[in-house]
Amino acid sequence: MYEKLLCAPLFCIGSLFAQGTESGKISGNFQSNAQIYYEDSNLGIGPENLPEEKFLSNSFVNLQYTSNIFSAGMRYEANQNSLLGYDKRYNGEGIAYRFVRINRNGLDITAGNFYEQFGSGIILRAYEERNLGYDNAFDGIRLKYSPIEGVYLKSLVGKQRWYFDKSEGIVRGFDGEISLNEIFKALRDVRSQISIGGSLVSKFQQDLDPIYILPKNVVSWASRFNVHHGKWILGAEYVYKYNDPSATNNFIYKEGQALLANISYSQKRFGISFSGKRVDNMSFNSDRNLKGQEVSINYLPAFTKQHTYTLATIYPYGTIANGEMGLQAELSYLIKKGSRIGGGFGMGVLINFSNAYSIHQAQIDEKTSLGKSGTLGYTSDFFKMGDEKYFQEFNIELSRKINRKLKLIGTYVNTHYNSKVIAGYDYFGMIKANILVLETQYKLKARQALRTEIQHLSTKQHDGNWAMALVEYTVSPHYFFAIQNLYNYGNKSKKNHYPNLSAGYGKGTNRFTLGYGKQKQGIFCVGGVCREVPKSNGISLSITSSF
Amino acid sequence: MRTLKHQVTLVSAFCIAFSSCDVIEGPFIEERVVSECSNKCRKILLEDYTGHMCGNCPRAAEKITELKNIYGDQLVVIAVHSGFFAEPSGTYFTNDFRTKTGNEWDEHFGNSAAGNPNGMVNRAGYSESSHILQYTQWAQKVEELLEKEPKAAIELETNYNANTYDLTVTTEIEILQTISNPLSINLVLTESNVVGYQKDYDANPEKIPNYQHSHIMRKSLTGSWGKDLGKETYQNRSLISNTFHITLDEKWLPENMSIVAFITKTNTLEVVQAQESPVIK
Repeated sequence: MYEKLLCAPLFCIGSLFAQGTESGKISGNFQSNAQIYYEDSNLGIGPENLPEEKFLSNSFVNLQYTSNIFSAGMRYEANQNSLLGYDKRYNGEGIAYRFVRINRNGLDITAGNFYEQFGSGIILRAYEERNLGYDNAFDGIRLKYSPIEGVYLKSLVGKQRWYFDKSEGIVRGFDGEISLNEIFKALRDVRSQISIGGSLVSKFQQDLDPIYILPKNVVSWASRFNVHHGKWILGAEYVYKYNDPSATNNFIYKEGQALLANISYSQKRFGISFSGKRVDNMSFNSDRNLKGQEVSINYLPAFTKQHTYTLATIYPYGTIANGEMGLQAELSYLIKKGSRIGGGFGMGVLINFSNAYSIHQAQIDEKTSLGKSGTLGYTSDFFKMGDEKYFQEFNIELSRKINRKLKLIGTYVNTHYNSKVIAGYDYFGMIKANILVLETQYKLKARQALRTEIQHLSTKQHDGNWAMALVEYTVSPHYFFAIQNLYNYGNKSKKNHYPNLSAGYGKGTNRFTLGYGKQKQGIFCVGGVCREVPKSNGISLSITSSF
Repeated sequence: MRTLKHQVTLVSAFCIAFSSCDVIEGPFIEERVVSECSNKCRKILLEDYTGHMCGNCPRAAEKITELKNIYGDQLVVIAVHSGFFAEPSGTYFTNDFRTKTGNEWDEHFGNSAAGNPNGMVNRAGYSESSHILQYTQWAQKVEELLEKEPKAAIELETNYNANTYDLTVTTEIEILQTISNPLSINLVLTESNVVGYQKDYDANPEKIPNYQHSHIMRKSLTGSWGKDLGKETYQNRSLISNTFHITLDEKWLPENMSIVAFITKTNTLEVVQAQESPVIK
């Protein structure tokens, strides 16, 4: 299906080169991740758990031609077969993304695949997150136009990618943003920069269901504003969706709503921000029958800090699209150098707090149970929270340069994680964990650096306590070597080690990384979107290149 | 300013065109009339990949009940217990409903790897990797497939000896439209009303001790990929007969068991026709 349209952009590129009528450039990148899998009796990986292929790989190459008014590109993917943890429906090879884009006299036209976001994304966002195996790119037409300075319009129509196929529904969208300061001359020199915007997104899908009477056209609209005033930024977006019975909301006919709001203040050495959100029945898929986020039209961000330390990512939050209320507050402060605490280089302090709760829900009438299929589902008081806590996290990070060679970063995280709601684990209820991390960065010589991490997670629930140590030696710009071990010493049934060795070599824009080790089973999330990662033991090779 | 007005009008028109929205005020459920079906009508095979530890799987089982109420005999169901959620676990979930055939199907089609519950309807879409359907997609697929005329009909004759637990099944296939594919016949035994533990995330407590498992696949009589019927092309009105034997496990209750037969295209594994008959009539 995708291959058929490939020829058009590539022939265009060819002919442009051949004729030499445009001065353009070609760019691109390549990535291949491969792994050989082994049995591991300690981890419970027997022959029956190993992939039949033993060797799996995910690879892609992006190619793009760009000139002043014209660009075209494609991505070829070869997953032969997909690495464990990625959906098997990604197995195969083909042109998964291709487009041509023409930008002339202010009208920007894209035909083929494209990614897009309206406002904060709570009404529409198409994006790719390769590490998650997530790609909901549109295939269709997009227009962008700015009729006058300060007015920015976008419209699109298309279907979304669903593995190597496309989702059933057709998505139509329109977005307009107005910068008041750009439009009105009188406002050009004022300190406050104000922009307002609005979106309308409609989805069409045939009603072939023999049980429910379904809306073929589901409309959603959103409005937003953003104000920058000196050191302050204030913004909010509200989205409303008409009845959209779907697999995710258990085929209820209630409307959906979401509100995101944030305010922040920043000045030299100090910043603070508050965000709040309420999401009610706002899963919006281009195929109502698909649960999960595979063909999400919109994106509901998780209001939590994105951690990178391994043990801090064991209990990641995934947004509950059917309903949640939460807030996030963040404070950053750089303690002056020369002070007693700040030392010779100053000390960075970053404090973050976030939480998420269920929303209030009440029965629509006495006879109908909450969320019953084929009904309006429930009623909800917009300003009322539910009783169930989904998530809470407090974390503090202190970073301080001790001298020209040594830097220390200390992190403490306290997490409350409703395992049943977020991850579908049971038995464990609310997992409460404390995580401590100490990272050191030490410059040995010019171009040689040593980085270490010592991490500890303590919890009485789930898998119990974990400890981890990592040492990474870098000889820039070409080599790195790393060794790490995770130890699940608090696990009551099996105290497993998960050692990993890796080495990398890079020259120019090419990078090669070879690793051997064990991978723990868990959930991997980026921005509230998650996938399950299975346990494994094996050799991995990663190659990246850009040009 | 006039240009701006035009543009505002254009944008408004665009918005109105987009805003056609179907708001359903109720009723939300369709009134369905179940039509009686003869042996020669099309029957659809639904394979439900499930497990007793899968807390969302009872939703799929409820969907099956809902669909059986609509389609009756025209829907033939096999519950394939396989993958992580079907493993015996802890002190309660001790049943092992997995079978060699179920495990091989699961490995081949990738169902449990895609996350239970899910299933296949006539294994449609297997060649394009769109064969795995969430339970919310089943109804639509069944409806779509039932619109096609049957290409074959299967008649089943069972003969069960209660003393020896021996079951003999005779299948007679009648080709109703010429088929230019190698075909295989598949026979599996299923059992319903089996009481055991099941996890249900919507129940409180989640561990349900006396859950009634239905359509559990117990064993295949024809191996995982069926018995090839031996030809490349099957002419209209041709008849093919076969006889199969199996000895039932003493723990199974024959009065709760059915024999499910289905014809597959040998190369693509797509299901052409299905049939079901109780072991004891």
